[in-house]
Amino acid sequence: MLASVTRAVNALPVNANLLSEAPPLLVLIIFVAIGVGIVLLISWVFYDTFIAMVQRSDDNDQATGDPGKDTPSKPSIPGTSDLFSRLLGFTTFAFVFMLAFVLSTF
Amino acid sequence: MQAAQDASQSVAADVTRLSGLANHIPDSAGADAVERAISTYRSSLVSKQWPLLQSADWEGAASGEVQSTGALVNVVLTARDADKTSSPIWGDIASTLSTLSQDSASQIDQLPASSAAMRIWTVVVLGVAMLLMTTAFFPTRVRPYRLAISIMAALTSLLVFMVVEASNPYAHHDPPSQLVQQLKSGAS
Repeated sequence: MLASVTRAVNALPVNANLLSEAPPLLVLIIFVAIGVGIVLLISWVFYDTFIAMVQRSDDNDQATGDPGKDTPSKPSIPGTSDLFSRLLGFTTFAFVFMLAFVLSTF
Repeated sequence: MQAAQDASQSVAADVTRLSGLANHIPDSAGADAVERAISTYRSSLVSKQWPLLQSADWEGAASGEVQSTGALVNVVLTARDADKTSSPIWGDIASTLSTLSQDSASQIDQLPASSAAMRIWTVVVLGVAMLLMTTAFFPTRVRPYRLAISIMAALTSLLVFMVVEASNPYAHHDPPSQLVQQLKSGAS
């Protein structure tokens, strides 16, 4: 990755050999700034969409049948929050697994 | 990381030993030629080879090493053939050249394999997916939401940085000081 990223940076007009010449602390700050910046930008642009998505999921979670009848007329569809949690858990597990594997190969 | 430093120090020690042995070549013309070749080799190590190692250019580093070592060996062989004294010093020089070649190969072997880039990108993709899912699936009040995902993004970036840094033991490291000092002092 280092070589490919360095080549990509070198292809820029500024010709900065960023990853191999910049101090590690500066590289770390750039990494953190990019990560935090992207996540904050996405949260800022799509905040309303995410809130609406979670509310729809909550509505489904709380949906029940007609209380006047003994049995609900239509089975309620479970919300997606639990599915999302499991998806996130699986992705986190894969991330940690790959991280440990890659670090162990160096 | 330690193996890379050891290999670099071994290469520097081999070059220094070779330089010392060259001073004992009986034929003065041959000695001068070998000393010049060692000086060129040392300069190539610091100014050409090391930047290639730092940028994890395996092919460039290996190719440069073959050329540099080849040129040095050619000069040594020519000087040995021209020397009529059949001094035992040539055996020591040949042995040191062999060790130098092995240590140089070991130095280049410490670079990450080409498949390492794919593995690191997998980690990056998984980290980004994890962050985006957290951002999308768990929104809450604006301030704690942005604070929490910012902390998560910073920690994920730190982990990715660690992986990238660990992938190349030569990045952000200077060439062995022994070689740099010899170059500055103009020692051959």
